[in-house]
Amino acid sequence: MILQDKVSFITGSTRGIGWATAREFARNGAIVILNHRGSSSLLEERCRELDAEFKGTVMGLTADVTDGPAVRNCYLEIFRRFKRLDVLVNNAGILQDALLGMISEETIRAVMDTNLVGSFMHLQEASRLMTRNRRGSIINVSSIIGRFGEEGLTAYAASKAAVIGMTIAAAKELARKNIRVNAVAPGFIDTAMTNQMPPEKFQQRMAAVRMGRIGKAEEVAQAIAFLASDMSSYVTGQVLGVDGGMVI
Amino acid sequence: MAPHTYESASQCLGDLVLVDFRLESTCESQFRKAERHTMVNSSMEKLKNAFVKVLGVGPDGNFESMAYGETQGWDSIAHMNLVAEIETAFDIMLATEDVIGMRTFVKAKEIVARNGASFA
Repeated sequence: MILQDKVSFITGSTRGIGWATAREFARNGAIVILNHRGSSSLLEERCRELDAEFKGTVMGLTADVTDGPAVRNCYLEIFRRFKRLDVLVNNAGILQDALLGMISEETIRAVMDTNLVGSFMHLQEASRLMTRNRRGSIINVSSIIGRFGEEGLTAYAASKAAVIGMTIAAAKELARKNIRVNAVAPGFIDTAMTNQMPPEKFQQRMAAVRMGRIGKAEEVAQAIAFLASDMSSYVTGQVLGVDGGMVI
Repeated sequence: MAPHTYESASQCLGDLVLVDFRLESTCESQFRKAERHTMVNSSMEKLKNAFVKVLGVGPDGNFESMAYGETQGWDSIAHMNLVAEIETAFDIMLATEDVIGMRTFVKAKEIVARNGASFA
């Protein structure tokens, strides 16, 4: 199993790509630390599901990625329990769809706070914990929108582009400590977010995918697992598109 | 109660490093004193060792005067290595504010003490 006993923290991991990643990691033998900002009952339910299916070590941490002290407490708890962190998957994110001129300052700040500042804080805390063992892998979940942009998603695109910049810079800084930092950029993926799209827009997006089908969250999770594992031990500072050849 | 000898105190202490036990009257008090003394010594030693290892300063250097940006080798890269070395040595995790604020050896000692180490 490619992630056997790797202590892995996955933010925003109770649904969508985060949940698929948690399952993929558990399937591959990782010690999985789930995170959710909302109800602890959902987190507990997810922990139980993983435990029942994969029988591995699972922990749940309720914390909002925009809450600095809460983020820090996550790492104190991880340190207390495991004394190390091998993998961070910076997955938690939000998407707000609005045209320029109609985006409030509050919306811009909320998107940047969750998608960029929250990821940044996690990266910083995780890298310090990983520095002690001089090894680790951090995977930031960006988006095809962060690479190529999309109308109606300027705030989201800006935040996800910033995640790519953060990834490349952090990879350079942390390489000498044997900590790898990479990003995945999912394309059109079947999640609750895409299921809420108007049919017209859904078809428009589908037409842009060269492979002619929507991606599965599990397929993004597999790419993340590859970057987390030693199978990518010489890969850092990369942005891996998981988009079926999508063009936008 | 008869004074305990070094040997009997050693049995109490297991692997702990010694002090002079012969003036103490009970094994228990010897243990406490020895443990405290060992912790005090080892806390200071551990902290100095971290500086020696990361900054490459001599073990007999003037630690009290060492400061970020002034002591040779104590740059931003060394600083983060120093933080990791101290955290590992003391088995603690420092807050980001402490990482930023740890700009002298004296301050480092204060921060480590606040995280449970004894220098008294």
